[in-house]
This record gives sequence, structure tokens and C-alpha cells, in this order.
Amino acid sequence: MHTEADLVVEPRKMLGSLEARRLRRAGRTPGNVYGHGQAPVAIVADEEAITHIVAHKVRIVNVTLEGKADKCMLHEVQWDTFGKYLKHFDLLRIDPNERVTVEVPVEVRGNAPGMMRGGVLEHGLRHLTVRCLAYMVPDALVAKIGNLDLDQALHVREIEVPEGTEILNNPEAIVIRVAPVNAAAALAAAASSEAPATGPEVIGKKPAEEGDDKAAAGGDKGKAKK
Amino acid sequence: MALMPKRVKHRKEQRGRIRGNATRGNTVSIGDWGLQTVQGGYVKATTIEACRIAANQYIRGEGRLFIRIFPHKPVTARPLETRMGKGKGEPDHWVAVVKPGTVMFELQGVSRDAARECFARLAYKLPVRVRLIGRPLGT
Repeated sequence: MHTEADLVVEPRKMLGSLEARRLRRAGRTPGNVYGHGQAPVAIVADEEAITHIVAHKVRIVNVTLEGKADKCMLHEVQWDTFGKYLKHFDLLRIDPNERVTVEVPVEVRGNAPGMMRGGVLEHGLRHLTVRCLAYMVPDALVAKIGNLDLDQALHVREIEVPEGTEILNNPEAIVIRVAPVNAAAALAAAASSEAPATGPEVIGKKPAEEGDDKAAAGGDKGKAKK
Repeated sequence: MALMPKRVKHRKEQRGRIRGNATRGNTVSIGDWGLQTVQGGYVKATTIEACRIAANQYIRGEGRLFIRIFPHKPVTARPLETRMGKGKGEPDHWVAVVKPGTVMFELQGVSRDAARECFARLAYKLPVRVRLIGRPLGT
């Protein structure tokens, strides 16, 4: 993971989906840069450059727009249906000395004894919202599951955070849990057997009415032919 | 028991057309690995059930399977050896409409190799071409 990268962007003169598609065909990716009390600007960047930044999970992007440099963070990215091409990106202007709110992935470390006894890991939260300085955003928050037995859970309050970083999630929320596998299987079986045996109920019609309708429909058609 | 809705507004539906790619339900959201379609089509409720059984037999409690599709659409059929006419046939089975890109099944708590092996077994049963995907970049 890289901390910083440079990106040269140009303002977009024409907006709209048609123009965005035209840009993508030409190997360029449309995006926006906003934040810090300034007006949002529609931009366009080289597809390779921005894909490289996203793939390497770069935290801070030094954006050069018409000769003016800004420090930004990747705020949102949009992929195509199959996750192959970057369709759009959003950059958020930041101040290096100001605290930002970002989503950080949870990294599971260790082997839970509960898993050896037939439990499966259930992820409650895969990301945690943290508030810290832009330069101090951790790559991941470590969830140590080395002492989790069957039916035990690791909560947000038990996650260790680096100094100067604050977790904004509910401290009582479950991050990860070792669930008994039998319960999980029973849940899945129950879900699959919920469906009625005869067929679904038709909203606004009683079972008798449904039968009458069928008979009436058949009768009418028979009469119409005669 | 195969999946089907509990309540419906109408017993029969028109066929419709499968147009475009999936814009929702096209990423792995619950588990670690997903089975994504690269074709559009109808997946029968019985096929979904067969896949569920096959996957659970393979993973044998080491991981969890999530089914991300549901057969909402009724398909009608005419009885055998009947003449044409006399109205639309009676509901015969239920199907899930999948667009290219739909993630149909997800697995949690298994390695990539195990997920690949498990999904390969499901792919034999499915009427659409599929591929294995992981979680989206950066998640």
C-alpha cells in the first residue's frame, strides 16, 4: 500500500452520460473533486493512472488541476458490472492537519479455538468508521480472534486502535463471531422449507375464489366459441 | 423443498425480456467468494435447491453458503397431449431471473481453492455460464 501518489487531471468541459461514455472509450475516466468549502469540479483523468491509484489503495492523492495542486483522498469509486473497469471516481479535498472520517477494513488475525470445535466465523462488520489525521489512516484494524470460543464474539470496543485514531461505530456492535455450524445449517434449512407446499397465496383472493375464476374463465371461453 | 414466494399478486406473468447487465446484486456482499453469472437467463427453483444441497455437501460445515437469488417468477406450461388454445397454461414452476453480473451464491469461511472446487460443482447444474469472484477491491 502506498501513502501518496500524484495525479494530473483536467477539467471536463462537457458533462453528461454521453460525454462520459465518449471519454471512457478514449481511455479516460471521468470524476469529481469536491470538499473543503470550495465548489465541486468535474474532472477527467487518465484511466491507467487512476486505476493504479485505486489498485494500490493510495491514501493521499496530490491532484494537479490547471497548475494548482490539492491534496485529496479517494472518496468513492464506481466499477462496471463485472468489476473490470473503473467507471467514475470521487476525490475529497483534505488538509493534512485536519481529521478525516474514513472507512477502514477489519483484518482478522489468529485461529479461534471455536473454529476447531466446528464453529464458523460470522463477520458482523467488515469495515469500521474511524476518525483520524489523513496521514495517519491505518491500512487495517486488526481483530485478534485467538481466544474466541464457540458462540463468543469480538466487539468494537475490543479492537485495538493506533494512537490518535478514534472508532465511531457503536462500541457494543459485533465485529466477528464464532457461530455454531449446526445453528447456521438449521437456519438455512428453515429458510428453504418456509415455502408453502401447495403454492403461493394470491393477494386479494380467497382460495375458493381462485378456483371459481378458473372455472368461470373456462366456461366463458367455451361459450364464446359456440 | 424448493423455494417459491409465499404470496403473489398474480398467479401468472408474462415472459418479458432480459436486457442489460445487473446493476444491483453484482458484488460479493456477505461472504468471501461469490459465483457471478456472465450470461442472463432463468434459474429454476429446483436448480437453486440442487445447488444448495451440492454446496452444503461439499463444504460440510466448514463454511457457510448464502443464496442471493430468489425464484419470484412463475412459468406456466401446457399439459401433455393437449390441443393448442383454451387459454394460458397453469403455473408449472418458479424461476429466478438473472442478468449478466448477478452474484447468485456466496461462500464464507473457506479458502479460494475450496470455493473454486465447490462452485465448479454448482456450475455443472446451472443453465448459465458463471465465474468465481472475490470481494471488491479495497473491501
